[in-house]
Amino acid sequence: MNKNIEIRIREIKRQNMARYLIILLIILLYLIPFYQNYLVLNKERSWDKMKVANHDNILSFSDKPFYSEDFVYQAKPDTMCHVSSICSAGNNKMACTWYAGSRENAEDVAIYFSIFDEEKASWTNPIVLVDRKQCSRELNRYIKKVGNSLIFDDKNGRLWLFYVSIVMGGWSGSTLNYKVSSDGGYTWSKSRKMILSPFFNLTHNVKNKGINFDDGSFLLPVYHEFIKKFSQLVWVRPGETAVQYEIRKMSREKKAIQPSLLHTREKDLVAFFRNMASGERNYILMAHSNDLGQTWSELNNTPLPNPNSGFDMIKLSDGAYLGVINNSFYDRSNLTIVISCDKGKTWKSLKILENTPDKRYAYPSISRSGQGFYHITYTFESKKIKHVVFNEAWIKQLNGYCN
Amino acid sequence: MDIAIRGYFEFLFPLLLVTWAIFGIARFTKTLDLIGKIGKPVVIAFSVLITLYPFTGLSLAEYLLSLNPNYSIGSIVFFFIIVCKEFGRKPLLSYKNLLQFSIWNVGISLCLFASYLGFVDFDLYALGYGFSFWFVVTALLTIILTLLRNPLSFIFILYIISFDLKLLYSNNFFDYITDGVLFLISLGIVMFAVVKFLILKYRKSYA
Repeated sequence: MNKNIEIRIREIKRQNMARYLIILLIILLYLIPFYQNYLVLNKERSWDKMKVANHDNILSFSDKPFYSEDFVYQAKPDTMCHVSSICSAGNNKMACTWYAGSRENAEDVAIYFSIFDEEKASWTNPIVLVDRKQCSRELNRYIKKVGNSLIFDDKNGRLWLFYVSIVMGGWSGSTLNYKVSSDGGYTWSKSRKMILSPFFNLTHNVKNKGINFDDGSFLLPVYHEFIKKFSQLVWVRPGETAVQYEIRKMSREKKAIQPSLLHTREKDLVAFFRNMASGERNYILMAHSNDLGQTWSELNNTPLPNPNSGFDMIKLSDGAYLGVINNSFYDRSNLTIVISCDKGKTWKSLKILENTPDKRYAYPSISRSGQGFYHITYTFESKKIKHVVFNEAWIKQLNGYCN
Repeated sequence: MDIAIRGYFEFLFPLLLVTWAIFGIARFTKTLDLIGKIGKPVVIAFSVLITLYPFTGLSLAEYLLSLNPNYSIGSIVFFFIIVCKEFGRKPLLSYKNLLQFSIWNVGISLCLFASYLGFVDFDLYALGYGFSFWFVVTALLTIILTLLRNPLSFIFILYIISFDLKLLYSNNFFDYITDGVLFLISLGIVMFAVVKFLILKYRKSYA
């Protein structure tokens, strides 16, 4: 009897010992992310520790005012083009992407690419960078269509193409992919899918460029359209073998999408949002962050009207905010360059780029080249991608510039 | 974790799902009985073939991964358990444990999706990228389940092992715990259990 009790006690002890060992194992397993987060990553690559790469020292080489206009692309008959994006490609070159096809969200939509040479003042012949078949081949996934794209240059001179692919449904079914070029857009990596959402990876779309950090990582503004419409910010960290992401919400209330990000100072960012709220008179929305985009203030109206349309903003070398917007509450028939000299509180109209009733001029993208020229591209009556170039000397001589 | 290993690992869920479906069809059509002893290996071989072979340019696994690019460890374990039922006499999880697992999946998924899709202010998903209080919560739950000798503790341990090994493409811990497919399946199981419970209660009250 005693022997049986002893065996039983020994068995219980053994079981308890096994359980304690498992608990120890659990603690050790959880210590790994703790160690990575607080003892390794925090020292090198924590969002809090990032510094925005400084682009403000780029000044225009020319004191003479310069302004020019041309077209990047003319859509074929019975097709349209839309959502252009422009960024510096190094060596006095600018890279531009857009999509074209029979209609928005059609299966024949492809993403096009062209390079502008500032010395020659000419565009290369547009090429198809990716269409749904190529995307499907590169990702080894079924892809029904592709859509919005964004081209962005990181601090290390690489070009990133972020673009949307859709397996089913419309824009609310969009997910993001990327391709990278290390030679100014001549060759590109295979497409890779970004996993940013826990719910069927739904949904993310892009419009405006991000902000570079000193270490080569960057912030990418994205927006969400499945059930609710809001904006998010992705911290993209390119590694040696893989790219890692972290995503944070920028807005919750109101229908604020397509954020345009500006770095104001140190860890302060300001974002301007397209306003998708119902109602007749809507304004561009604005929010601030003082921790490099991890948390955001509530949304406030700016004085700028927004007819539920995309726009873009950039910071000039003297700190003024320059925007390209549809300066109307009702439609996209007017496209105007606006400026704010007081950090977005008040705005003045600088130059009306387009103003033809019943026509559409939409989705501007603005970027500064290494030579200090400002390049704007936008959809011109759904049939062309128009390109406008100017320098700061040209802006400064306009009526309404900050003095 | 090497990207190539992740590339192979992502096929595990589609393979388990298709194997489970083919076992179901074979059982329903009584094909398994017809084939005899080699029935189960044949089903497995057939499942591997139709899951991984690109008959239409893409394989069935790639089509399934097109719908959801990130199947969680929870989903993989769930289908592993039900596929294993075809081989063992004793299931890896009892019905009670499976129901507990489903309730956990539904609960955590509802909180996560409500937060991510913007229905609540709190950004729960952001806590999954690096060590946060959420990791402490799951660690404590795992320890409690271990002390209670609940077999779900093994699933919880698998979450953190696979996260440490970065077996999935996502670097968010929540993507290792749940996903949309697991939520829908678990919701189905929980709703079925609730309906069954209500019917039994209704019958008892009228007996």
